[in-house]
Amino acid sequence: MPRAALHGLLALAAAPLVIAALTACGTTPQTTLEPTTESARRSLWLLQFVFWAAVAVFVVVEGALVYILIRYRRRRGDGLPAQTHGHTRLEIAWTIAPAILIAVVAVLTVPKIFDDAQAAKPGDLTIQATGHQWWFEFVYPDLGVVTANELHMPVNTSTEIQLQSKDVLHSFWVPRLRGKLDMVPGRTNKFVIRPEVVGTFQGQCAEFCGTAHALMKFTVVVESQADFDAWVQRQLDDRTQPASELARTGETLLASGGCVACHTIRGTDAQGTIGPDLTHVGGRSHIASGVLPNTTDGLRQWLQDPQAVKPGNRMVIPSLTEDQIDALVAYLQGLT
Amino acid sequence: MATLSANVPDTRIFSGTAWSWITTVDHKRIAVLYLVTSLGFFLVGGLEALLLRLQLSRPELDIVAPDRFVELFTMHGTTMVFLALMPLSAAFFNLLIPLMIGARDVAFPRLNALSYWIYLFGGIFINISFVAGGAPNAGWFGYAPLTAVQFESTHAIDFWAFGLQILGISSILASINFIVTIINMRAPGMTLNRMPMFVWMSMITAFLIIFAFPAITVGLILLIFDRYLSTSFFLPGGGGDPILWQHMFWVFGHPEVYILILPAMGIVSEILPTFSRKPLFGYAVVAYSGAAIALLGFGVWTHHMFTVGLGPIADTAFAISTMAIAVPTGVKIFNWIATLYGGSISFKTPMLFAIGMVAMFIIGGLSGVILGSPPIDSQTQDTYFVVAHLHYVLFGGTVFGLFAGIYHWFSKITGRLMHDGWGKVHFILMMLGFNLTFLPQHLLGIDGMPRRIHTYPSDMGFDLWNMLSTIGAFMIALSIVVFAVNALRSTRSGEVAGSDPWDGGTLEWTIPSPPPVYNFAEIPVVNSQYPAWDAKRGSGHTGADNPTLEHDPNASHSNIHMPNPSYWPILLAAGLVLAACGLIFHQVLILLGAMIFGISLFGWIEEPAA
Amino acid sequence: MSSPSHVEHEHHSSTGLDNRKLAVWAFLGSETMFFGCFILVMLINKHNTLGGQGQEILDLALTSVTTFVLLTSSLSMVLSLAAFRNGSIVWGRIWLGLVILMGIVFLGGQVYEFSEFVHHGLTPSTNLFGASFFTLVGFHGAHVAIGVLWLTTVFVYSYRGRFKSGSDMWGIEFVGLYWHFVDLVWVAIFTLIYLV
Repeated sequence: MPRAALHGLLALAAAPLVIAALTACGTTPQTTLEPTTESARRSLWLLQFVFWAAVAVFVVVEGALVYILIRYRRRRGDGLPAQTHGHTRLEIAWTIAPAILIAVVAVLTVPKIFDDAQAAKPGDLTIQATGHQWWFEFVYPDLGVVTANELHMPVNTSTEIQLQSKDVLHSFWVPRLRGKLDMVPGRTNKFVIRPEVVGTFQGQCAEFCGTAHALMKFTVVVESQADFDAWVQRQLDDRTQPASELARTGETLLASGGCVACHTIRGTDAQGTIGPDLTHVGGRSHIASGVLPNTTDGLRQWLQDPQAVKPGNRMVIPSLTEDQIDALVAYLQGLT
Repeated sequence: MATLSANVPDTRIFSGTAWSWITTVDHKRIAVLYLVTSLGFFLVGGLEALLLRLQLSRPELDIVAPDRFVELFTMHGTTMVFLALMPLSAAFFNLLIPLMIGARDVAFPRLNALSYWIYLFGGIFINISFVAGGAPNAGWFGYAPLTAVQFESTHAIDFWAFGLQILGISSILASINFIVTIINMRAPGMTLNRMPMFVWMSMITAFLIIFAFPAITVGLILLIFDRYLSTSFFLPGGGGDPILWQHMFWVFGHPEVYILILPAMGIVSEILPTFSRKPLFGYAVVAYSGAAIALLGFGVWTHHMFTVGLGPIADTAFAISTMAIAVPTGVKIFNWIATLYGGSISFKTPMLFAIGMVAMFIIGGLSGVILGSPPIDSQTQDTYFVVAHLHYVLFGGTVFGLFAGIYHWFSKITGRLMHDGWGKVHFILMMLGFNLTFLPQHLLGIDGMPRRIHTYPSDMGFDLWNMLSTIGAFMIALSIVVFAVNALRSTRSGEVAGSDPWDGGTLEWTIPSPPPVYNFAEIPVVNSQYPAWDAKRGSGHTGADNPTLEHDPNASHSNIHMPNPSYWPILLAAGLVLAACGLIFHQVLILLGAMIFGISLFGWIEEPAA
Repeated sequence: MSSPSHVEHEHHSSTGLDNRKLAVWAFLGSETMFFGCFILVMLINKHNTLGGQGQEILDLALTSVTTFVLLTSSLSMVLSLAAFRNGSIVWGRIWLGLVILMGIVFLGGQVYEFSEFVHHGLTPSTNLFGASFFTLVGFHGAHVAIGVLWLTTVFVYSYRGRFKSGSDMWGIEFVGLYWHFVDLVWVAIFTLIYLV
C-alpha cells in the first residue's frame, strides 16, 4: 500500500514537467508567453526566471521528501529511531539559503517595478480609456477621436493610456502588450505602452465588474504610422451617409427609436453617451465589446436579443421585426 | 476513575438527547458540533464548486446563467473560508487544546458553546439569501463600489455583510477563549516551550483572529453605512475612495489566510512526528517561525493590490515584505522534512494526508513567490494563476491538513478507527483529483484566462485545461463520497481503537477514547514536549494503555466539578441572529431579537458559573 | 441544579492571572484594533470636506469640558472599586453613581454636539469628514452608552448582596476595565481629532 502511494507521489512530481512540455503550442490571443513590447517581455523574463528557480527548488525539496519517505519507511523489526530534536547550524543554513534566493528575486524585481512605472514624455500620444459596465470607451484627447471597444495605436510609438471608470472597478489588460492596470472610479491610473509589432491584439477586462464581466473585451490594432493616421482621419470624418434604401430606413429607425438616448452618431440627433459611440462602428472588427464579430450575423444576433448575448447589460430594447433588423444592420455596417 | 471495558468504547460523547446537545458546554461535544456542521458546509461549498466547474468545462456553455454563476463563486469562497475551513479548525481547537494541555475544559465553557451557535445560525443566515432575493454576488471580497446600493439594490450584499459580522463575533469570542485557555490552564510543568506544536499554532491563530477581524468589522460597518446612511466612504462621487475598501479588506484578508493555514500546519506538526517515531525537528524554530509569519502577515496585504496603481514605491515595499514572509514559511517545510529524516515512517492514512499537505503546500508556496513580484503579477493577477495558487495553499495545504487531523483524531472522539484502506483510496483519489483540477489552472492563467468569468470563447486555447480541471473536480467529489461513507460506517463499526492506537507522544493519548467528560482523572505533571512517550518509553513500558504519568499531588481528587450545561448560549445566539434578520426582513424582528438577547444575557449572568 | 454560591476559582493558573482578567485584556486588544481602524479612517478623511464643513465646526470648549468629565469619571471608577474592596459598600455605590452620572453628562454633551453639527449643515452624508466623524464618535458614544447601562446594572446588583468585602470583586473590576478603556479611546480621539 505505501508503495502505491509513493508511486503516486512520484507521478505527481513528474506531472508538472510533462504538462509544461505540452504548453506553448501556438500563440493564443491572450497568452502572456508571446510578448510584443519591452514591458511584457520584462514580465515574462521575470516569470521564467522565478519559475525555473521554483522548479529547481521543487525538484530538490520534493525530491528530498520522496527520497526520505522511501529510505526511512518502517521495516519489520525497526527499533526506535534516534530522537533528534534539532540541529542549530543546519537550521540556520536553511534559513539563510532561501533568504538569499528570495533576495535575488527581489533584487531582480525592484528595478523592473520602476521601469514599468516610467511616466509618459510630453508629446507622447495619449489615449483615455474609460471602463463602463460592460464596454470600453476610448478617447484621443489631442486628436479629437472618440470611439469604443477598438483601440488603434501606431507601432514603435510610446503611447500613454490613462485609465478611468464610469462606474465600478474594471481593469485594462492586453497580455501581449502589457500587464494589467485597474480602472478605478475617482482616480486616473496611467501607464505607457510602446508596441513593437504590427498586429491585432486581444484584451479583456480583468477585474470583476458584475454579471457580464466575462463579456467585456476589446481589441488593440497596432499599425504603421501611415495606417494610424488614416484611421484617425476616418474617425474624425463625418459619418458615412447611408448608401442604400435599406440603410436609409435603418437610419430613420435609429433616429426615431430609443437608440439616441444611449448612443452617439456624430452628425445625427443621436448624442447619447451611455453606450458606445457608433459613428464609425462599421469599421470595427467586433461589436458588443469584443463579444460578437462585426458581421451581418453578429449584428443580427445582437439586435435580435442583446440580453441573450450579454445578460444584464444596459441595452434593453423592444423586439424588432426581421425587416427592422435588416435595415439597422445595413445602416450600421455602412458606418465605416 | 471509571473502568471502561476495552472492547466497547464508551460512546457517551455521542449519546444523549437532543437537549443535551443543545445545552452542552463540553468542549468535546462542541468539537463534534463544529466538525459535523463544518463538514456539512464543506459539502455545500463543494457543490457550488462543482456547478462552477461544470459551467466552465467547455466554452460558451449555458448550464449556469451568469447572474447565478456570480452568486455561486461568491458563495463558494465565502462558504469555504468562513463556514467550512475556519470552523473545521475550530473543531480541532475545541477537541485538542484542553486535552493536549492537560485541562478539563476551556476557560469559558458557555462562551465556547455560544461561539458555535452563533456560527451555525450565521451560516444559515447567509445561505437563506439563496431563497430570499438572491445570494451575495460581488465576490467573497466584495470590492467597492460594486457593493454600493446603486449597483446592487437587493439585499444580497446585506446578507453578506451582516453574515460576516455575525461570524466575526463567533470567531473573536472563540479566540479569546482559547487564548486564555492556552495561556492560563496548562498542566503543571507545561511551559510554553513544552506545549504541543498544535497548541502553539492555535494560540498564534487566535491572536491573529482578534487583531485581524476588527479591520473587516470596521470595513463592513462603513460599507453598510454607505448603503443605508448615504455616506460615501467608498464612493468617489461623495469624496470617498474604493481603494480604501481594498485596504481594509486585505488588512484583514491577508492575516486571514494565515489563520486558515496555521492550524493545519499545527496538525501536520503533530502527525509527522507520531508516524516517524521521533520528535518534531527544531521545535523552537517551528514555533517562532509561526509567530514571525503572523507578525509579518500584517505587513504584506498590498500584494493583493499590485495592479491597483498605488505606485512603484508602495509596490516595492510590499513586494519585499511578501518575499520576506516566504522565508519562515519555507523553514517550516524543511523542519518537517527533517522530522521525517532518520525516522521509522509508517504510511497510515493520517500520515499520507500530512505528507500530501507538505508536498502540495510547497507548490502553493512557490507559486506565491511568483505572484509576489509585481511585474510578474501584472500579468498573473486576476487570472486563473491566482486561483491555482490559492487552492494549492488552501486545499493542498489546509484541507489536506484537516483531513489528516480527522483521520488521526477520529478515534479519540469516537473510540473507533476510520478504515485505513478506504482512507488510502480517499487520499489517492483526492490527490490525483486535486492536482488534475488545479495544476492546469496555472497554465490557464499564463494563457490569459481571467478569473471570475462565467464562460469563454472556444478560440482562446482554454478548452483542454478547463475540461481537465472539471474532471479533476469530480474526482475530488468522488473522494469525498468515499470519505463520508468511511466516516459514517466507522463511527458504528470501525475497529476499536483504545486510548492510543498510534503510539502518540502527547497527553490526549493517555486518556481513554472517547475521553470521560472530565478528561483527566488526575491532572498530570509534565516534564517534556512528549509526556506520553516519556511515560511509555522512559519507564520501560511497552504497552500503550495506562502509561504512568506523574500527577499533581496538590490536585483535588475528590470532586471533579464539571461545568453545568446551559441553554443561554443557544438563546443568546438566536437573539443576535434574529436581530440581524430583522435588519433585512422586518424591523419587528430586531426588537424581538434584542429582547431575546437581553433576556439571555441576564439569564447567563444570573446562572452560576460552573 | 444550583452550585455553591462561593464557587472557588482557585484554579491555579499558569500565569497567576485570573482567567477572566486575561480574557478582558484580550478583548480590549481586539477593541483597540477596532477603534484604531475608525481613527485611521478619520485621519485619512480629516480634510475631505468637498468644500463643506470640516474641522472648524468642532467646538473645542464644549468638548474639553466633556473630556474632563469623562476623565474624572475614570477617577471615580477607581475610587469606587477601592471603596468596595475596603468594605465601604455605601461609598462604593456613591462613586459608582457618580461614574454613571458623569457618563450621562458626557453622552448629553455628545448628543448636543451632534445636533449642533446637523443644525449647521454637517451630517454623515455631507462629506467624508462628517461621515468619518459621526461614525467614529458615534461608535465611541455607543460604547459609553453600553458602559452606562452596564454600570447601572452593577449598581443595582450592589443592592442584591454582591460585592461584600472579601468576596469576588470581579463584577466591579470588569466594568472598570471596560470603562477605563473607553476613556482612553476618547483621549486618543480628542487628541487626534480635536486638538491636532
